[in-house]
Amino acid sequence: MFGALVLLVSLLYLGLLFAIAYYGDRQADRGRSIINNPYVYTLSMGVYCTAWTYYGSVGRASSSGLGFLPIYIGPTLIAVLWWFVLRKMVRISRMNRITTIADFIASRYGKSSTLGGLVTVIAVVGIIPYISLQLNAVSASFTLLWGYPELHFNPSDRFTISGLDTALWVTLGMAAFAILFGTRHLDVTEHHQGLVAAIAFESIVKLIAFLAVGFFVTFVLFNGPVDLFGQAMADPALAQLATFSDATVDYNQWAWLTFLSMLAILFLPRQFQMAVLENMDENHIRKASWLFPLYLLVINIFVFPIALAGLIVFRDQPIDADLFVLGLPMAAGNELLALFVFIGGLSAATSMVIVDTVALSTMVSNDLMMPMLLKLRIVRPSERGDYGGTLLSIRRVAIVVIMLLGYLYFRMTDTAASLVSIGLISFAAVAQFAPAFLGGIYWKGGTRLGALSGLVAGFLVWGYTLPLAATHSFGGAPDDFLLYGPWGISWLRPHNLFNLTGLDPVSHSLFWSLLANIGAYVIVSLLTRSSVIEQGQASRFVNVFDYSAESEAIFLWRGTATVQALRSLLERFLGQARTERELNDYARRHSLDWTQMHQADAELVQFAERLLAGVMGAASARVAIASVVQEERLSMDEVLKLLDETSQVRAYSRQLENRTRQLEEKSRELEAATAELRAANERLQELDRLKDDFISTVTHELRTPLTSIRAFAEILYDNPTLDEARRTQFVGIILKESERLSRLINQVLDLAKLEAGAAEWNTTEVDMRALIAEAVRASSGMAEEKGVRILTRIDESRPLLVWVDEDRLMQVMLNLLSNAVKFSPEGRGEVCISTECKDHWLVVHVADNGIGIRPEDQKVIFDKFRQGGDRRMGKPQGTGLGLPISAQIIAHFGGKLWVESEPGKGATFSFMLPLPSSDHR
Amino acid sequence: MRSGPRESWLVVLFVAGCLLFSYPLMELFNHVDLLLGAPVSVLYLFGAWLGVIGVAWLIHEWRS
Repeated sequence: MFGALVLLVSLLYLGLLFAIAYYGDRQADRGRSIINNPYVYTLSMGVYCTAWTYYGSVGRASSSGLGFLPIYIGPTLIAVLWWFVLRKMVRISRMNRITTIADFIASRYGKSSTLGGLVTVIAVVGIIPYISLQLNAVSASFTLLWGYPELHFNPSDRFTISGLDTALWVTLGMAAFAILFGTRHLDVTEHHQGLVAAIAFESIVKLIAFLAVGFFVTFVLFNGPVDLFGQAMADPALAQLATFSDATVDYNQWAWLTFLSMLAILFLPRQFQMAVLENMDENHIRKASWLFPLYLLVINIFVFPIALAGLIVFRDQPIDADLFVLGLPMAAGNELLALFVFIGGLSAATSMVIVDTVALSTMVSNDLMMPMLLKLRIVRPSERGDYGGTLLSIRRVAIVVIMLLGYLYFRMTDTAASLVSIGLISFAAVAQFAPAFLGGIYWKGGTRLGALSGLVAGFLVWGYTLPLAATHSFGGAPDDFLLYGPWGISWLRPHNLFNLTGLDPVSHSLFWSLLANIGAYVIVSLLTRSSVIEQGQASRFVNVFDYSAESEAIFLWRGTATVQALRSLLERFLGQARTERELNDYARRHSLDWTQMHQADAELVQFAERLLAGVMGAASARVAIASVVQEERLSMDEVLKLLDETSQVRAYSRQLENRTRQLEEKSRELEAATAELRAANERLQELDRLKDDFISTVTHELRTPLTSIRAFAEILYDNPTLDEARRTQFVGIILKESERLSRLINQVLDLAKLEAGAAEWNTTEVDMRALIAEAVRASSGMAEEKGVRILTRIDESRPLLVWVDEDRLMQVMLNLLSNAVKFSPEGRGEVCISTECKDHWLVVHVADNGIGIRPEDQKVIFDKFRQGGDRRMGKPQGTGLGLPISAQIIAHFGGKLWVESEPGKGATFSFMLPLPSSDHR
Repeated sequence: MRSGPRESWLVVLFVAGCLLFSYPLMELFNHVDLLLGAPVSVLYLFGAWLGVIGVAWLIHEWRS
């Protein structure tokens, strides 16, 4: 009854997966991708966690303690470098329309179909143990659950129910599932959106299921981790599991396994499929490179506690530790949890099987069968026929064959082997891709023959030391072949090559196989020369970031082909509708008219090859293209010329880059200029404000005399009978104010002229002595009126000649003298004019003995309308423009005007003028 | 590939991670004394693991 429920729920679960995949594909067809975000991308990478992680890790932990962890530490470490490595893989794959990892390697080494086929064989043979692991786990867990509530742990009947082989049924069921899921589209470079969505969903299911059982064991069966670890560590046998020692895992093995899993996460066909081919956006790698390790950490948190709990609970029962995860909830009588756990395990296994078979079947069809069929002329592209359908059929058959091979391996080898030990065999197989692959994307010197030799050498050593050896240890008991070597040759023992001891079988195999692989790859690569097409591909792969996505860069092809031949070739593999669409797009992009064009050029041929590559892989596409075009081989010189042109293109792009940089500089300069302009504008606004101030001040200054003139004029007008004396006094005031008014207006105009530089200057040689005497004479009336004496202390011995405008300088002198007289005390005032010659300067001092100027006033008196006097004397004494005008005049002659004063002791105004050089004298 | 400071930090983190998960450093914590209820060796491994993830997160997601 419960067994039927298990079956029903399993089928419902698979149905749900289909629904998700269907929904994902539907959304993708409508242009709404549900997988185009870093979270789904990360979850889809969770396909790394299979039944191995789900069931096997606990089994591993219960025998090797923490030895289950390197499988997840390795990916965590390499994920740190994903931004370099994985991004490069993604970029290369996208640009070359790579369909599988075999396609990748074949494409890099000159689209070699031999290499593609070899990689396919290694991948298929290498992954078969891994698939058998999934079958093993699912059928074992199913059998266990079928027997509920009893716990059947008898290995002899654990895979059959009522005489039926559950593993075979599971195999066929999964094959059907993978066919339905994975062979819906022909073009593999188009993302399998539905598939990815389903896999991401499975990653969530298995994570939640495993966390659920972890919680249940830790917090329900035991009272939390403290209780669980407390009980376990009290038992020396269990405590030992938490340490590194020869009995559990030693550091040597730990390091090798970490290294192995670093390579596995990059090169497992299903990881390549999910991380590289299904990647929608390179930037998703950023998030995935910390989120994916976090996923691994979370799914592993309860592995060790479950293992310890299983060892405690099933202490006296001979129980397979690989089934603790399911056995613990069953033993506790929690059937719903057991069912959920089983579904989680099923999701872990199915996700691996689906993605791996899709990847492997694509490899088999594109990189193994199609090139073979094309070369053997079984498929003739020049003949009519639907070869797209052929490809799909090959893939479907390949899936069934691969699944059956997995089943066979499972029945042939040691059924008692732990899940992890089976899986590690596959890890070591895909590690063989590392030298050719990594060498291929970082080293241009790697050649096709080098890659071939390396792969063959590594594969042979791997096959001898791991899977072959595995068939010689049925029931865990090694036979003579393992113990003494073939024909008793001890240095050929599969687990102790060259009598090497101290390494576990996997590390041992990894060491020797990679040594042979890398050695052969490097040495043969250095000894051989790569072909023309290889060099082109090497450059495209190694320097992928130098090529833009659109550029085809190098057309290493020359030959003749008709458009019609290419069109019918494409139709045979892509179908008529898609061919029509692609060619029309191409014509639109290149502004071509197919009715006018009969002969295909290199670019069109390359375009067709790329389209085909997306369907059948690079190597097959090359063979297919070669069948319809007459190729001419390019000579080395021509290739060098082509490469030279490419480098010119690159140099041009560097120039462009430089231009861009220059433009950036320009724009920075522009910004600086803008800043200057802004400053100038601010200055202008300031000046504008000053002008407004000036005008308002001038207006104010004009109004003062005008007001008094008007007031007195009104008095005179209103009072005709005013007596003579008053009338004379008022008219006098009006006259005086009018004079002040006209003086003010003259000065304002004068200043405006001076400031605008529009004043007229009649520069002549002037004797300063005469000028001073004239000024004194002119001021004497005003001085006498006030009782002020004017003294001069001038060197009369020689003429003091300066080059000035006489009238202007007189204006300055008079201004200074009248100021001095004005501010001198009445009656005892004394103004002293003195001159001195200093170097080439003539200095004139006008000193008075008035009340002086306060230091804070000494500067502002040279500003317009700022009078020191109004504050000293209580009323304005002048226009406030005299000093500014004088300063302007002196400045015009190249001199300067300044004041020195101590309050209470008078003020001395001085100006200096340049004395002309001797020839003027 | 242009490499900036972020790229350099990734390389540093990788090397540091390799050191954290190899012989000399791991041996320092290779004992089963219970700390917070869990063996020190287990705590160290998961702690260092989380640390590497945390720093990777910082390097990738930190908007400077």
